[in-house]
Amino acid sequence: MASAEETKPSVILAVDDDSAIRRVLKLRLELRGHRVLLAESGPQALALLEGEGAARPDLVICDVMMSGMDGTELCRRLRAMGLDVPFLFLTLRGDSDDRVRGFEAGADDYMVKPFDPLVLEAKVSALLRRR
Amino acid sequence: MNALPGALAAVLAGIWACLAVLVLLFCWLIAAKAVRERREERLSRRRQALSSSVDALLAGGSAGPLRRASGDGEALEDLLIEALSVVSGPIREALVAQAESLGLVEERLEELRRGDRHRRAEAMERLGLLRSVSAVPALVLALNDEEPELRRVAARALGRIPGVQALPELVAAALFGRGPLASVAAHALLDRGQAAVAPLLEAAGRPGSARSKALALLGRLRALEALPAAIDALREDKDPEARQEAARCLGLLAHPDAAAPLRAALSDGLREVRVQAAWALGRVGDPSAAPELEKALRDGYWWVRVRAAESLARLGEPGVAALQALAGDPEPAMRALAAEILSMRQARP
Repeated sequence: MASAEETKPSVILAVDDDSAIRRVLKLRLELRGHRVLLAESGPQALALLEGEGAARPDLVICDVMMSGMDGTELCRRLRAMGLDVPFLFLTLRGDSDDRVRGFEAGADDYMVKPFDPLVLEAKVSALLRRR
Repeated sequence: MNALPGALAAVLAGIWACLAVLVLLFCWLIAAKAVRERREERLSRRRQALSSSVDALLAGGSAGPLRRASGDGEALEDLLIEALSVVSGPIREALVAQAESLGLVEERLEELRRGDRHRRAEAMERLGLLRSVSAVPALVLALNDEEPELRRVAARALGRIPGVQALPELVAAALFGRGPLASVAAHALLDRGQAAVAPLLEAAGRPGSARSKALALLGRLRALEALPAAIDALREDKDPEARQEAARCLGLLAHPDAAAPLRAALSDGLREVRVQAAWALGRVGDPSAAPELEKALRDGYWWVRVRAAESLARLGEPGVAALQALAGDPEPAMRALAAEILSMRQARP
């Protein structure tokens, strides 16, 4: 039976400089009924969230390692903007320093790449339920 | 006089011949461009259709197996490899099964068996990215290839294939291989995570040339199972490199049980071991190490003094007090070191 969270569509912002990751995130999360906004960099994500009529995501998924502004910096900036939504970051296996930095920046959970899409969906549902 | 018109005619004939060749060449180029464009258009349409089928697999739907038409091999392989780089779990297994049933893995294995050096390297790269366990035996064989570059590519490919297959071979390459092969195999083992711990523990548990490398990898894997082996190596191994790596491993594990042997290692006869022990004590964070670290501030080797000062700063109150006491030290270098470490500590958020 679908839970209330699953039937209520949420807006998810997915930020990753790898187009294959963006594609899979969009595909899987839209199948679960969510609206997915994609950005390939931190500045592009910030641009989506600024100005009149800007998107208001219910959850952010973000790669930690990105050129320019990395995921932890983006997380800090979003928190500074008052965006108090769950933040799930994507990291490489073995990068425990990245995970620590991510949590210190205000992230709520992480997934190791490559990830099992079923686990990702379960984490997204759990984080959205906690809101 | 009669020779001139004859020569003119020959020149004109030559010009006509050149023009004819140029026209033919031009026509051939136009035709080749049109054929290439049609082929690219067809491939692009086909790629789009295949991409939808791969998306259906990624979505976990029951879209049925992918169908492969003539000329699809490259596009299919690219799409599956891209998807495999993102996902893990049952969906990845389904994608690998598709790559196998479509013959993509077998074709690359055939290339690996019969191709020239360049094609064999390419085949191994692609086999690693296709992550098929059925490629493991051929890649293990390639670890002994006479070409060092091909051995390195084989190790990297094996590192990408999940599971415990080929672990003994990767461990052997990481511990006993030379140069880039050892380095690539070591990275492959780090990617395997916990699965690599047991075979490495075996090498870390006994003295020998492989012990220091095994301890280095176990530390990076943060394998607490390595704690007894690392303590033994630090206390008893005659090989200075093994003691050095043991101290570093204990620092990475940061377990309280490592504090006593690390304190003792601050008196090791080899300065490199003392450096690692001083660094590791800061990571372990046991405040009872402060007196020994304070003593290490007077070590004859500069890097021992630096690491001891850094570790004292990490130990909290007793360590900070020891560094502050250095403000009145007669040696200017010690005063400067203490001031620098304390200012770095204050600057930390």
